[in-house]
Amino acid sequence: MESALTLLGLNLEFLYIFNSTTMRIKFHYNLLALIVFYCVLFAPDTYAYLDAGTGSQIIQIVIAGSVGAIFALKVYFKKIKLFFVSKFGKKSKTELKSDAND
Amino acid sequence: MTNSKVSGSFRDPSGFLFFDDGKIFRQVNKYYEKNYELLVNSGLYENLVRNGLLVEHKEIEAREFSGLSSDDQRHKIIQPEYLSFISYPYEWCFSELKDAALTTLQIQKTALEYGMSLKDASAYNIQFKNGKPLLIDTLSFEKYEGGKPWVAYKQFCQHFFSPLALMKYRDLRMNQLLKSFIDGIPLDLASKLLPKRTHFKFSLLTHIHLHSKSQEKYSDKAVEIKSKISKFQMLALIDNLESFIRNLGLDKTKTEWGDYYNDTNYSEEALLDKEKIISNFIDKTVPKKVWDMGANTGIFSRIAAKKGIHTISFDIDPMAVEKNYLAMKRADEKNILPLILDATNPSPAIGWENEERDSLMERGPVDLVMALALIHHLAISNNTPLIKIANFFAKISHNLIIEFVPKADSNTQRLLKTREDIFPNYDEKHFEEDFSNFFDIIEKQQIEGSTRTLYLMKKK
Repeated sequence: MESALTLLGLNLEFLYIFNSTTMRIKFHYNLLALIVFYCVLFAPDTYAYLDAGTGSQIIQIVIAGSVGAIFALKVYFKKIKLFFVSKFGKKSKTELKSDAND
Repeated sequence: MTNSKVSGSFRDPSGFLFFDDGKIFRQVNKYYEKNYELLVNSGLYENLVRNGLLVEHKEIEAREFSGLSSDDQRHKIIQPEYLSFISYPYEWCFSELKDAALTTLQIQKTALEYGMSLKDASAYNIQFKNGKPLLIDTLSFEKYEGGKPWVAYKQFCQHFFSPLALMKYRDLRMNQLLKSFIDGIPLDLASKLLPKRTHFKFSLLTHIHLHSKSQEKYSDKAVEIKSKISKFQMLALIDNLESFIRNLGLDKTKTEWGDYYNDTNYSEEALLDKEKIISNFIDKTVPKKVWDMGANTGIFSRIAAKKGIHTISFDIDPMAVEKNYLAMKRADEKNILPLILDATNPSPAIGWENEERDSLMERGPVDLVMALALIHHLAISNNTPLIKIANFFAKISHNLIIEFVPKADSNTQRLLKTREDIFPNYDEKHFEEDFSNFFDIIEKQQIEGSTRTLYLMKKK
């Protein structure tokens, strides 16, 4: 189950890169949700210890695994944005200054 | 003064709260020693306190506390900063619960940076100080073990995520369920109560609907969880919860009294006069704490708050409380706390032996209670005899500013329009007689340009 999700995460990463419109992201987000749903309902029963929060821990692992790729992109784009803001932000300030001097 | 353990803090083996000579202390048990020292020595404690996210405390040198038997479990005694009022999540409006949730997630993110993690995410561990939410349970942290899921995730969903989702997508009053479910709204119930369309929102589908299904599926099965959750994935999970909650906003729903002050029957002159009289009455009582009962959006609470008096601004209408809280945030007001309360059915004592969370009455009495434009609702809408209303206020206040709204008043008339008038004794004479059983009437003043009278009373 875990490896399937990792694969899924990778696939989706490609999808996000190539389909950047909001609609498509929403569509894939919902698709992802459906697959998570599938994973939960058909997750294999294993053995050993029981505790009250078992179901909560399992769904947490599944959700965390599936939102990891999106979070990675979010962090990644934030960094890119910061990079450009720091580059061009400064430049535009300088431009503004030179404009003012003219 | 006697010494007693606070009954709301018995679950956690890490320590407990107790009162000694009227002051509150927390014992840190040896069981929690390593985590406590890690919290302090890692710099996490300092970071959280600096950012106003965790209650400050000082360590107390070892000594005997009267009534607290010497305890070989004791590691340290700490004295947390005093909070002037303890409020509960069923008294918070939507945005208060939302801010408390976001604070909890912010704390968890900070804790992870320092190699620790929240071991519980109870809404009762959050309190409002100077208008901002902060964590009051210093013993909520444990060493973060890489790969382990967030142990408080389920509790976070029950205490914060479910009520917020229900308030947003079903009804603002759904947080009242928290009175019945002390450990948060069960996810199967939240899942049943949420509209079907919430299945199409990723965060609601996963954190509530599928979470509930997963709980059901594994409720009676022995499962060994082999999968791990990396720190990055945990941050992704928190980010998902955080973004969803941050973007949750209320529609501009109008509730019954939500725009009361916009279409009130007060003239501007009467309103100014009322404010002047109230201000004058407050100055005469010099209170440290004020409860404004039926405060609506808190315009009169602010008269007290602006004098530096800690003021709780209670109202039954969750939308009025919401407006009050948002106004408080915008103006960065520190002395006012808007809370939801039905004066005809005040917050009960709940939990184990009815002692975990205090009733409203147990949290009083206060120096001054204000009951403005409230009495006609209690007497006429709720059929409460004046003597019982006087008795109630005598239990929660040392001083009382109360506005008598006569039958001739258009608002009282409105309440009587749809029902039989069975209140022959609802008049100023009987009001004064009944209240005089419990209070001395210090002063009374009619509000200019209105039929209403303001009274300043002192408890006998």
